[in-house]
Amino acid sequence: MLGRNIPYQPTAGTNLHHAEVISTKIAVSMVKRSRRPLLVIGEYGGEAVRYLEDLNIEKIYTPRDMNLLSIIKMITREDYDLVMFIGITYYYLNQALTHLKHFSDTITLTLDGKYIPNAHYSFPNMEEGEHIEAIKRFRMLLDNL
Amino acid sequence: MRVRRIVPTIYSKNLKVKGNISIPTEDVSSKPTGPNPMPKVTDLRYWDFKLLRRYQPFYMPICDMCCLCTFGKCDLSKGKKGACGIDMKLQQARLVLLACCIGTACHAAHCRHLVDALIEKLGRDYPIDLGNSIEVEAPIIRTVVGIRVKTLGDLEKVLKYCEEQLTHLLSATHTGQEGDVLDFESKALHAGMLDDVVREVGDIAQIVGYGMPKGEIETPLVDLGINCIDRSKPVILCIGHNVIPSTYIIDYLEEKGLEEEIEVCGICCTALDATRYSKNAKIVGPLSRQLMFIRSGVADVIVVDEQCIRLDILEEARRTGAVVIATNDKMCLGLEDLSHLSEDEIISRILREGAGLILEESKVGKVAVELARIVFRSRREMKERCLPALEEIRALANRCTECGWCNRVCPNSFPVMESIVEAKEGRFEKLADLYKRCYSCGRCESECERNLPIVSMITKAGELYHTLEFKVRVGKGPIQDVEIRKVGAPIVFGEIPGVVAFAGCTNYPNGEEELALMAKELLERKYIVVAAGCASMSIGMWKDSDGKTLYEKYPGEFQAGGLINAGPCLSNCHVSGAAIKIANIFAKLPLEGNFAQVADYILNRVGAVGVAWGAMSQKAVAIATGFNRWGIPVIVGPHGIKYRRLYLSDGEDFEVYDRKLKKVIRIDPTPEHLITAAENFKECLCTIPKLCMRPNDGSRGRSMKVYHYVTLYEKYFNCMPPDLEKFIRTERDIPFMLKDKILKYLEEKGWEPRKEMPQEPTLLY
Repeated sequence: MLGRNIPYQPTAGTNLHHAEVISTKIAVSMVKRSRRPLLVIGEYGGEAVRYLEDLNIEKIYTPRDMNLLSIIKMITREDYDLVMFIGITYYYLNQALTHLKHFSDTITLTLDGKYIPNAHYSFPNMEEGEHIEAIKRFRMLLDNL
Repeated sequence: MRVRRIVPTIYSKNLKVKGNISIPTEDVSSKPTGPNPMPKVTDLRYWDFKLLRRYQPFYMPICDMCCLCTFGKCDLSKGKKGACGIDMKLQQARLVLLACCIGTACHAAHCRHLVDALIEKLGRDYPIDLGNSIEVEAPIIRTVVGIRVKTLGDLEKVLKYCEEQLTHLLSATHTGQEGDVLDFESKALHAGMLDDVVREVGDIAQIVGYGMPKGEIETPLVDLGINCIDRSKPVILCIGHNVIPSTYIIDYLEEKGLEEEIEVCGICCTALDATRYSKNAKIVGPLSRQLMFIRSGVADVIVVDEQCIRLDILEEARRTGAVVIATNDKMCLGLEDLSHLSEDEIISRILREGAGLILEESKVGKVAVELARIVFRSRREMKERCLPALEEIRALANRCTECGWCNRVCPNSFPVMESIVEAKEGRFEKLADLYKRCYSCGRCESECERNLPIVSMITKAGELYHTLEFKVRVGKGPIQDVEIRKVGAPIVFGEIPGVVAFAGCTNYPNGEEELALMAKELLERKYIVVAAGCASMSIGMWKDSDGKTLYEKYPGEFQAGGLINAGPCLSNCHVSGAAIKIANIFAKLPLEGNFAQVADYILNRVGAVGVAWGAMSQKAVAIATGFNRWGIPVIVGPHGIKYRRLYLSDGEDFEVYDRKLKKVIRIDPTPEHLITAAENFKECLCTIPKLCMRPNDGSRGRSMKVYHYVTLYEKYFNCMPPDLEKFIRTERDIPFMLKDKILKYLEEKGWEPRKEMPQEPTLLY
């Protein structure tokens, strides 16, 4: 896919500060270093989500468990230091993340196969198969910790 | 003081009494009873701050910078301040106020235009008579402005007040003005309230001035949909929101007896108003169908007035051979004003040049009709050729390089490329499916490196694969007083589960059909569903297995299970109007100058919620913010968060003062948010019953609302709502049918019944 670190929807950026593209290896080390991580799982993650569901990390399924914006509001009150997102409507998540980007110290990491500029860290744009492989690798490295 | 005399006769076995009873009726100039007639920018700040303390602004900036003055650009990210001292939150609040001002100005100018035109036509003293069924003729104006309008001239006074306030509000967005987030938000709420006022002005003016329905319970059904338009006739297409040019066209057709010969149809709110004016008008569809219909080449003459019109309309019309008439000073399109010419001369000029501006609207009728007859003759054969045939679509598709950028620039990330790839093999189902979900913004085409006419390809497939013939009920305007009397108590005590108002544009995440499905689910559950603007058309664009639209299946009365089309987006005022009327007619709350008291009543008692599922415009954010100041919560779709600001509570207990208990008490967090968003239609549907809950709900009413909340959640998420315990105050709030299940759930959650229930809750203390 062209433009691995251009926002998947090219107009999704906010001008100055865009997410840093990271590899699965770095994502794993972030989780490893995290004191209190959270994984927010949406409905559109497809097959990739299957590899994360039994991960030993606190998880919230949105919108079933909580509205995404309520989650974000809750994150600003709680002391999560790393919040990961996967499977949420692209433009909706990207826009909602700007609240955490500007008004919170919590680090955000998106695990979708599309580059999401308003997170602090994001996977790059990937083809679907490549993304699933990346998530499998992410899972495997976490298990080997 | 004038008196109305009635002569009652009382019979009894042995006694016959006759007499006159005088009932005083208040004059227009009667003094308002409340504290805030014609509130200035800061007069209702105390109410706004009460709302904003509970529902704090939640910001999501779209840009890291401010670029509104030449100090900048200023980087406001990471806690930095701009050269004027502004920070990121302030900038967002300022931009929301700006958007609300734009939206309100748009409605105000539209309504000023209507009122001025009608005063010129009918005179300043023309009476505002909404018939015998409506005594509370303008509940918003009564409450906010504090007067009872009797003539068109009175509406002018109301507009003057709003225009003056709007100037102050807009000025607050200038560099170096307002410096507090909550004050910016209070001003945005003020703008929203003014928006509600001007919409009521405009709709009342056009209802009385153009003889539109005055709250009739069963207004007629009219044709809706692209395939309802008879292509074998000359077709005049009106786009926009201002009905005046359409009325001249319809009048001219009637005068010349040409109604059967020429089709008049519309897109967006002009279409809704045209059908309120004449039964012969037809509706193509909402805003989302604009580019598709123009591309189809069916229209011979395109008349544009104002708001939500594609700015490349001249270019698009030229491609199909249609001519364009611009009619409004807000949208001149670079065209020469031809108003000084005779109608015949205008026709010649437009035939030569393909377009013209006619600001003298009385000339539009003849010009549009005669042009349609001439242009039709010359492009009759061309009509069928404007869209590519299926074989051409296949050939075009084969030029696609499969770069995938059409998917990436699609605001909804629809699988455009995949549909084109299928078309290469002669399979058009995916293109046809896109037709139902796409709102034809055309960004895919702009991006395409092969310049494929993707919207035209989608349109052709859609027209061939779908019926596209629907029905919508003509907009009824205000809700009748008698309807309010019937439902007032059941709404206030919660026995009607809620009033749900579908409003706003068609920037849907997944097409119109989902809106209709939401309405269907709610109607089956006996909610009162009201729709206005593009949303009201969208609800008509779905048929059940019997081939019937929801408007054909459900009554048009404001009652449990009723589906009301209020009218165009101006008619959203009748939603807040109905809530106000409940306070006035059912609870006897005086309206004049009594904004905060009425809004407090609505917030605590009237289970109404707005759904702006496809909100796109600045008008939509003004409408939503207006609802919010009245205490009516709103849910926007996923694109709606690009407005940058929501009002969200923490979801913890609220505090209210109880007038009966004479103390502050803690209550359940209802309604939980003032404006929130949902990611998809099932989340939206499940949020509706929650936001319909009010502190004043009786146990029976609350149990019904809980029933819908739980059963919808189970239906769409296959589990109990995860926050249910917050909304069950005592065991009596648990619906009988679900008692065991809910009790088990509550036990797991460690729920305990509340010790106190509010009896007369208020925020005004």
